[in-house]
Amino acid sequence: MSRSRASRRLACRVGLSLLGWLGSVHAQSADPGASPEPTSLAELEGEPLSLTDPSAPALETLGGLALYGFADFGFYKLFMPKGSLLRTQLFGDSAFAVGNLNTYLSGELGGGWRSLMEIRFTYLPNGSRPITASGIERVSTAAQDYTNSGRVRNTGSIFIERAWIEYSASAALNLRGGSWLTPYGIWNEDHGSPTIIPVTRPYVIGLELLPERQTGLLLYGSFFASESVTLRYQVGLSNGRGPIQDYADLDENKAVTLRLQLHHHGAGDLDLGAAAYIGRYTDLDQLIRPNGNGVLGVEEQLLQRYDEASYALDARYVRGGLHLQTEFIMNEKAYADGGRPVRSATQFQPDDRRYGGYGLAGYRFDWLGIMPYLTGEYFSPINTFEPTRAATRDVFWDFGLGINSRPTTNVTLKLEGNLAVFDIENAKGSALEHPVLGVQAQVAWAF
Amino acid sequence: MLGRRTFLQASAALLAAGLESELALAAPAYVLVPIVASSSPMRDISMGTLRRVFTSEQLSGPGGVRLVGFNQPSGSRARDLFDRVVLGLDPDQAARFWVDQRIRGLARPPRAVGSVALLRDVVNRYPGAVGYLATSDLDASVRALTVNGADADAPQYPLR
Repeated sequence: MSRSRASRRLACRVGLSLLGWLGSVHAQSADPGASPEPTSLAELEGEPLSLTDPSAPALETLGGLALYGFADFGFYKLFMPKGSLLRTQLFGDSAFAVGNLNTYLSGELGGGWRSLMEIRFTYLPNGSRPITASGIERVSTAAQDYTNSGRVRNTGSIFIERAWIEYSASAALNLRGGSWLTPYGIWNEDHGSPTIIPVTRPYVIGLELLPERQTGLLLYGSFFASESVTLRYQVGLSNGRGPIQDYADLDENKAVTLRLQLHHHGAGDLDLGAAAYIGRYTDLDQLIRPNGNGVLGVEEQLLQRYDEASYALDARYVRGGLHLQTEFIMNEKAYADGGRPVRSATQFQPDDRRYGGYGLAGYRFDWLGIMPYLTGEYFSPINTFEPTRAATRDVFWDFGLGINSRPTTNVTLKLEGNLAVFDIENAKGSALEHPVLGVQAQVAWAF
Repeated sequence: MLGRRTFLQASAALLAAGLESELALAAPAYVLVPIVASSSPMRDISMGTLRRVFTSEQLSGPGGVRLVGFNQPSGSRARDLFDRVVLGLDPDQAARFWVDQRIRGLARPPRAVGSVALLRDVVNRYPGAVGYLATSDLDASVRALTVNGADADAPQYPLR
């Protein structure tokens, strides 16, 4: 065998091994996110893909598809009065539930292109309880299953959590297009139940004072300021918030998101971040009516419109087992003329400034990866929840105490107790008159 | 009787401890060296750059070539030492770190290559590939880099 032929064969084998890795479906392994290591070139001889030297692609252009995800299952119980208006938003009765069932498809497309899709499977909308003019109407998705003698089953649906493609020109310049998680804070980027430490998200995060996700363009990059300091930026241009924000912008007013982040690696890892979001929400109704010429046309009727600005600050410090994190978020909302919704028979909804934050402190021990943690949350909105009370400023406090354990790399166990207390005016008879106590247990796993 | 047994046990323990320390002194130190292709113009790499490469940050080396890390298998002595010294993570922490990165939708971990010979082949084949080896596994097919300007014999060399 000539020397050039031998080197071609070696290059082919190396290329095969790389493609074997990049093209494989990821499975649970000791090295999460990676397939089992090839231990010899010979074991890859049977790979269906071929790679010939000298046309072997450069490292960054080798592509592949990865399928993975996470899920969680839990037991939840909230203690609150039977007649409380909170029951329109929260399920208080004890129940087991599969919460998230999210699958990811990640692709390295070659030439600096990469894509990620995340789909959540859900039982919704079955059982959801929207409040309408006639009261609470529970949604039923009952359907006759033609494969089972027409017996009734409830169907589910999916959420498209994110779906984007990005091009990476360099560390400092990446452009992402599609539906992406809004880059702000810690919680929204941690995102998945195995990764986040408590069972449920803080109220101030769940309210989406910044939208959880947006559809549009996101420019981002990193600068390595020194050996230990990395600066990151993200600038987004999107449809902004809206009733059908995923594929329509009813006011053609694009929202802007800006995030700056500093990461310091030294005695522990410190992340400091700030984010801002500015956008306009518009909801329109379309009425079909004859125009001046007697021809049918569409007349748009403004249902709701407001301009909003949100600001967020976050900090996280991790050193060994110690984990500290905090976020503060504020949202200001100003309604436009004609776009202000009614609050009650005699009142319109006031402009609002909502703000709040949370703090989390925990320490993870080596034994079973156990982390006891404490959380505290503060949130203050103008009362829009109970129209029978004045639009005064409410204050919510929530305190949590829990244990998070990661006995193996891919499994997270959580047990948490929560106490929510409310500081409101004219509390007598309100749903927020009494504290709400919650007990939650969850197992979350990555696969 | 009890006193005699205790004395014998203590003597045995002292003897064993002495033998272990003698062996430790006699054994060569386990030292890792970052490696690149023998044709690479790189001569040195900083700890910060190593950490960024092996946390899959996008980084370019000389000539604009993208640096891509290749790990030794998880559970290997080299991998454990490398993760502890460069990433500051023990094996469990490192595994959790990559699960979390995956759920966040961030970059995948560097590929782990199952044998030293294959790692040398991969690194030598691709100009941007960066790996690491124990000094005893080095050969002429790859280039060993200094770290923060120090070679593996220097007292301040960090990868040991």
